[in-house]
Amino acid sequence: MCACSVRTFRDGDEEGIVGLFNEVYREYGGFVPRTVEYWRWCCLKRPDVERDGVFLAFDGGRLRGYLVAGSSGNVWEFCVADGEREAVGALLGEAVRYLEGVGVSSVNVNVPNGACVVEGLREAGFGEVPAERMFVSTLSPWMLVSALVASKRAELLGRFDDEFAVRLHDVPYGVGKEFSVRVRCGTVEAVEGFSAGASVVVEMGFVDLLSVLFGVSGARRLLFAGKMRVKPFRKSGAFLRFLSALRLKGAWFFPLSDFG
Amino acid sequence: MGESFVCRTLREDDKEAVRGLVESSFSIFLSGRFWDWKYPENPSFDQSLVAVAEEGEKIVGCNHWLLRRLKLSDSVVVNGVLGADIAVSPEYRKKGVGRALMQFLRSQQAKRKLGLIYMFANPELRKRFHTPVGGYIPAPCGTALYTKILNWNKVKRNVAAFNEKVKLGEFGSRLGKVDLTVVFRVRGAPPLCLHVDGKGVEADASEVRAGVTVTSDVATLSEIKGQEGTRWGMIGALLTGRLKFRGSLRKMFALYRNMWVFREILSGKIT
Repeated sequence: MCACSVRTFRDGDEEGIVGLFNEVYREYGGFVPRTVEYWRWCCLKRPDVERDGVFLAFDGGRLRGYLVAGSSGNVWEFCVADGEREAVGALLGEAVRYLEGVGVSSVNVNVPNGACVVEGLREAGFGEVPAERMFVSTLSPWMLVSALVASKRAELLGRFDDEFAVRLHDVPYGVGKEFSVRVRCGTVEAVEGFSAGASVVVEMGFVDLLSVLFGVSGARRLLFAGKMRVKPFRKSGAFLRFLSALRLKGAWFFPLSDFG
Repeated sequence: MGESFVCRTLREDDKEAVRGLVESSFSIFLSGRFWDWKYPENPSFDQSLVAVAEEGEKIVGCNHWLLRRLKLSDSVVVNGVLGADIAVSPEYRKKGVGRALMQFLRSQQAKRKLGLIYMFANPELRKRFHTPVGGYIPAPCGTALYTKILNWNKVKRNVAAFNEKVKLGEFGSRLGKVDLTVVFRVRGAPPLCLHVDGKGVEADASEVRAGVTVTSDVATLSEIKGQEGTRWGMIGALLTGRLKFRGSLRKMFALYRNMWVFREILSGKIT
């Protein structure tokens, strides 16, 4: 017997929804962290979403999942607390009934690869189809590296005593070509421009740097293929370790509601 | 006409023209209130992040960016922009308007030092345009899209378009003396029955005595559709049992000979 109850959206549910979303997807990258204001805009005020298409699953008064279905057939957000398979089935059942009533041809849901909801989707007759891809770039390599360096401050201080100056080539229009990172004497700092006093000088392609930072390709391969030049060469190992420390390793997920 | 356009940021009095241009370029996605919701009603909307290309008094292109806070990992959140809709009037396409708009926004926003710009795009367009101009790379892939078919209305629309072509004589005598009924049983979807004869195709969801029954699932169908032009997708699905055909040898042969009809109908949008 299903212990969870499902009802449609009511004013005041936003806080719980936003809290659940940020909690369930806390380990993922690739999405906009939810605030009540953002969620109201991206889901509730979306032109194809009615309040009757927002379903919430509760277990003894505790919110265990929610689903936002639009009359275009897209499930803009589907979020269920780990292990709540009953909530998955109940929410999907309500959404499919609602969308059948609206008259759509098909229902689309996107979820993280391997998420607990995938089994529930398969049981409900959903099949995986090719997904839209997300593409990333930067308008300021220095700012991107700066954010990554700040999040790894303690780790970097314990492992390095260097100043890296990086010069990028094949940089897109309007993007800075140089940045430096100082990891020395208890300071971790990324600055724009090429530091004259750097102990390690690196030249590499803009796209290559992005590919390494986003975990799409390996830095070692770039070095051996001659696409990355490190001076002095004996510092190559230190720079490879530095890039490896900054590299984003977590899984990425974007809900459909962030898409448009 | 040609290189005489200028790029500038959006003004209040441009909104009508920009809305019209976006809606005409993305008619499937952007109808009704969509532009207003996505841009002016967006809490992080910044008019200086929308560029227009103008020739004379006419808006011939636009590019929209949206400010976003994006999570890169469990502990890193950066300020960035979503590179959203770029639209160019059909008669001004392939004249560098899109590139000029992208470069204009990049030069205007250089002072903001935004750590990230991201977008969603068709991989082909990304290779041809976005990577050379903006240095985009694919983001780590971790999102899966699942679909469930509720009805076959889109296939019925494809059938109607096919029958129009038959009436206009576009296929000559290719349909010939064919008389074949094929039922598609797709897991989780209602059955689809296609009856093909010399006059065209009829589609319905009723259970009939079929010459050939095709059994599969949405994922396999989508995989086969994605490898259009090659038979490997279908052969692979047959060998692994994800696609099954049932019927007499004579009907199977008739299906094989008239496969182009089904390819024509199912190559369009079905979900």
